[in-house]
Amino acid sequence: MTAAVTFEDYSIGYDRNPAVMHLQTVITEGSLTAVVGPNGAGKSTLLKGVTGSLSPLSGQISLGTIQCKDISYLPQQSEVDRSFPMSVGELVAMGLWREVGAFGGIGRAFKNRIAAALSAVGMDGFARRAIGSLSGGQVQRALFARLLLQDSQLVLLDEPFNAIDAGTTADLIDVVKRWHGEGRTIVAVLHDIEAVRAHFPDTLLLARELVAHGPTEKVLTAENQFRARQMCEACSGPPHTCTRHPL
Amino acid sequence: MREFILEPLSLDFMQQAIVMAVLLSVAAAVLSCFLVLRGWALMGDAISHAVLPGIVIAYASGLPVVLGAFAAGLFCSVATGYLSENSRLKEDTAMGIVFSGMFGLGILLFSVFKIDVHLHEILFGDILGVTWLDTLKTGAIALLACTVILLRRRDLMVLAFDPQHARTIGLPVTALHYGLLVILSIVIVAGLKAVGIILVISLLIAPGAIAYLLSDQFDAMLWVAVVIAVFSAILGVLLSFSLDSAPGPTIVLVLMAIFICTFILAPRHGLLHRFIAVRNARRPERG
Repeated sequence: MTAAVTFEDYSIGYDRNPAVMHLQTVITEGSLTAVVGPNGAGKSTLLKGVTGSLSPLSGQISLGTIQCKDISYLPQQSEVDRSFPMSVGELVAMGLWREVGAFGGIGRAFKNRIAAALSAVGMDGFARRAIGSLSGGQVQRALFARLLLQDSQLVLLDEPFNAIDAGTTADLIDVVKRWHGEGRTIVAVLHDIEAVRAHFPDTLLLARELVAHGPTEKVLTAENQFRARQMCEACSGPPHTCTRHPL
Repeated sequence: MREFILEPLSLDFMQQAIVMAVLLSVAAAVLSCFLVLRGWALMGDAISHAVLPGIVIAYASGLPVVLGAFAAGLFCSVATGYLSENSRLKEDTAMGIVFSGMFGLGILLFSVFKIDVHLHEILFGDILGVTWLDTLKTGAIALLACTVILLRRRDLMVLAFDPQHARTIGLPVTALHYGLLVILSIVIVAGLKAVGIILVISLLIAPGAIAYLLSDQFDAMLWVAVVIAVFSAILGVLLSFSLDSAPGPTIVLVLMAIFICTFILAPRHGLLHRFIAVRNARRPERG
């Protein structure tokens, strides 16, 4: 199996304070991986590191055959400014950016693809609606439509099912599974352990350091989860007091 | 009404003032949309103060004023970024320290160099004393700023809405950031003659803020901002003639009046609409 993302003694964080330390693991191509761990375990920071918007503090990350441009990223709901004056169509069109370019108008062919993507996430006819008028679940559907158009090999999802209704979650999990079937590599930060067990074959358990990574049923043991919580509590003091735990 | 409009229009200096104000307001309005959406309103305020030392040095040494203003604006932005990244200070604190310091330096340099421009003119403008050459320069700057922004408006929209997405799709995020900074500096310089570097900040924030309250579509917001800014510029200059007031502050006050009306009466995001919506939502409980 080829590696999609390889971390080698990888540390990343803000303002020189590491949020994730000494990560050493490989995410294989075509895998469907959940990233779980206690609050403050560095899960979202890790995704930002993979997109390249944060540079590593030390160690290395390599993306194998995947180009930087071939990554798509779903931000946390709280990071989406729903008061931004923009239509759903404009939001989804951002997924076509590389093809449209800044100068090109959005022609009929593009409009059809936008409509098709919206239809695939159950948002037929929403293209002209303002994003401010949508519910949280509808915004998440629209952002998934944008991901559909990006058509990337590596899809990073930051808490994709947080605070949205059950129907939307079920529909969006179907979309994720379809991507998995198409051989894309998917990494999702999740809180709902039951959803992870039900839908995600692989899990990466993080508590600022790696706790375990592998098949979900082997990773999500009671013992590992307990250890993750302990490690995070031990690390919640000033960063320099945080020493490396023996694995 | 005829007197209000036709009499000032027959005077050469009033014609120039109106043309100047309109050109400036178009460029400032387009830019203001991005400043408001990107959360850069305070940045605009800071830079409009911080350009003063650059402008004074440029006047004293005979360099183009735009160059001095841009260098000073860039210094302000980089120094703010450096301070907030390398200390525990938040960005607005760092910004406040940097721009007030630079403004002070500018005033100090002004008294040292003794240049033949009044400080009052730099700070508050002198739109009734502009020449057609000044107007031409402002027009050129306005055209340049508008062209660049409108050509890149989709990129700038993505950057303002979702910087992370902008990065992952390979947009030149840093170049766009500094590009916007360059345009901000040159528009402030364009506003120097008309309203001065202090009042230009109103033109750089108010049209975008008003349009933001009125529109739910990005392109509509741009149009609304431009129309409101141009209307305020013309009305402000005409009013200043009949009231015998200074044109710069009059334009600013017209914008403020429009802002207050919009804040209260805007169809979906106004105070009155919210009040009615809240009352309607409560009514079924009572019944």
